[in-house]
Amino acid sequence: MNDDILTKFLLVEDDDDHAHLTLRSFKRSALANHVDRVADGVEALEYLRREGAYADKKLPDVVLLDLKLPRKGGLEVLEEIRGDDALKHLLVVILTTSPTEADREVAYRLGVNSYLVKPVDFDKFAAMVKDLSLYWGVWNRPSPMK
Amino acid sequence: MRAIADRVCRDLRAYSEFDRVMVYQFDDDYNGAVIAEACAEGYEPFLGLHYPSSDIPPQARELYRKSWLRIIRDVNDEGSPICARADFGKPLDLTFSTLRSVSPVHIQYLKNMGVHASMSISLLTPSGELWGLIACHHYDGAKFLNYPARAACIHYAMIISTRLTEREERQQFIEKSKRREKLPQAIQLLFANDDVQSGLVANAPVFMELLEADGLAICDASWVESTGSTPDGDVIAGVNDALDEKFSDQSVVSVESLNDFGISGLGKSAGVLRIKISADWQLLVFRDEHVHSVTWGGNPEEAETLDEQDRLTPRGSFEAFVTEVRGRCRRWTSVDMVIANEVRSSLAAYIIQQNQRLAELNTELASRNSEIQQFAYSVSHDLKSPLVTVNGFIEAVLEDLDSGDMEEVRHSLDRIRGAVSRMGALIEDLLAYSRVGKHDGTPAAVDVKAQLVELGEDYEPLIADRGIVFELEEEYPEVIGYDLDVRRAFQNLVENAIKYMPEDAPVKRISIGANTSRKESVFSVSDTGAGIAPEYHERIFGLFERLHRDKDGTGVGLATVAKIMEQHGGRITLESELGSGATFHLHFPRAKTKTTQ
Repeated sequence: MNDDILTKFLLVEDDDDHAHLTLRSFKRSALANHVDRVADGVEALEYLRREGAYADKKLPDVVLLDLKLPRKGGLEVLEEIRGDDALKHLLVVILTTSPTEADREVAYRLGVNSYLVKPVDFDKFAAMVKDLSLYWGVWNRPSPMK
Repeated sequence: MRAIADRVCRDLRAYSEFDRVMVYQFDDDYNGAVIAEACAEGYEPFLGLHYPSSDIPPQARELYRKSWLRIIRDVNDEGSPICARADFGKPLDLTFSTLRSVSPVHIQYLKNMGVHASMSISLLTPSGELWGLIACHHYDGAKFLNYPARAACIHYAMIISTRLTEREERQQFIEKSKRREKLPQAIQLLFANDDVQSGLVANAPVFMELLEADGLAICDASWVESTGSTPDGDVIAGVNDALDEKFSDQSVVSVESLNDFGISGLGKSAGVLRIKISADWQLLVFRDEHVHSVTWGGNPEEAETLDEQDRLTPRGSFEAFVTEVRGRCRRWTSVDMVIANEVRSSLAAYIIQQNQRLAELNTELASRNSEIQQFAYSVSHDLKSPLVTVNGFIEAVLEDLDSGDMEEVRHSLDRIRGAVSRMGALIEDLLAYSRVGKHDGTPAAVDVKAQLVELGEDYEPLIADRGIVFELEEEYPEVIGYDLDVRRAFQNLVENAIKYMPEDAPVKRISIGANTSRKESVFSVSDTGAGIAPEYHERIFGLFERLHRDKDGTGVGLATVAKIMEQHGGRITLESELGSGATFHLHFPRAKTKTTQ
């Protein structure tokens, strides 16, 4: 399969179980996606800046970012992405269990594209993942500035 | 004081041989009273008689303040005029002339009393105020004292002045001290109440005793609360307004006769002392009417009359004349005023202290509030997370059962089990965290050495299994604190050190050292693990913060240690570089441990 026609997601998620379930939801959606996963904020920035083990990675189309992460939290990662000329155009979607208003406020101030709260119910979660991959991967046309 | 005055009269009469020698004392309004007397036989006693202030008018009092002694040899003497030189240009000042004539009104006054010769010697306070007089009357012919005798009298009056005023001051001082003693206790009582006003109401009898009052009222612009004998609320407000008008915002003012303000409905109350505590409210201290009689030397109403030629003449009769004083309260003395001022400053200080305490509480509350919010947020996130896992994998199990992929089902069930036990551990840890500092007892000496030895024994199997060396010192200082909390702090640190010790570490050692300075005892838990990069040194003590992605850590352990240290008035610090192990320092204060519940 040609890599280019796939929508590339970077999933930043420290919880293995959640990562597993998210991947399973992507599979269920039966949409042509490619999902890479990193487990904390520091790894996420290494991946995006193609440092070390991630030297041959391409920039993803969408970053799915958890908030509560070891070493470097999701909001810090978002801030660094928006402050980095090479990365600031990236589509960033927060995917978290936290519905806190304060987090949401900061996230939008820092320029997040969307803020999603993980539902406890798996069917809903899977539906959300499907919708989000459809919306951000298929329908949405990102800014041409790269 | 009376004893001294009596003695003065006896001594001076013996020395001067005047028929009557009296000590005459002024009150604040310069009405006078005879407080001691020595008298030749056959004369009517004057002791206890009062004289209105007009008997000794201001210009006479001013003269008495300046010159110690006046003598009138014979009321019938003719005066000789003093002729000034024509070019002198101004009236001659006779203030310090002893032999000068006196006012004709005074001569008449003495004649009316049947006095033939008189002498008066001033009694002055140390600050030069007129305290009283020694008045000497002679009835049987003229009487004169020569210069040495007069000088002796003056000298005597000087000494007596000091003795009398000193004695009076001492009495006032003793009374003041006695009443003042009660003040701190009274203020202390206020502390049990939410605010000063309700404190004053609850402890009104104490403050009434302190101010020797019959009633007490607290009022502000819209509210009056009274206790004891006071007028009604409306009248109190009226009294307050009248005081405002007369004294504007003077902090302590007193009135002995509220009748003068034309206020009706005063009831038993006659006088008031007002203490303005702040711009908003004041304390009104009421005293009931004090009906008493005063015996005057002659009718005081007749003190000054005009004769046929419209000349001012003194009254002709000095028969004892009794008047009844009504509509006034007992005098507000200088001691009352001093106490009132002290009540005011104590209350003001207390209010400032209250406000400070309130501000502190507010700050503390605000910080608690944000802590609780943070806590609720973290808890909701970290407890919801395993629920998402459990739910998701149950769904996966159902799908995989349909397709018959039993391997995947087993895997999903493992994940569910993991999530559930993680949730259990999290709840346990959170409970432990929230229990920090919640104790019934008081902090006591904790035997750290015994605790650490026990800890080593508990973890012995795990330590041995992983090939870790656990090193303790011979001696450890004691700390003051809560046994269980101190144990948990060490346990969490040791557990972390074991948990995160890399399997391939060249040296596997956990050691606990101790250092004591003047101010604190520092325990250092060191390991030879992977170390922690400096940028995480602060963050790792936050609730639910994790550096590792493993399933064992809940992110509560170090937060709990930090909270324990805070509760013990100490702190936790970290020394570590990536790749060279970590040392956590627990700083316990050595002085008295302060704990907050």
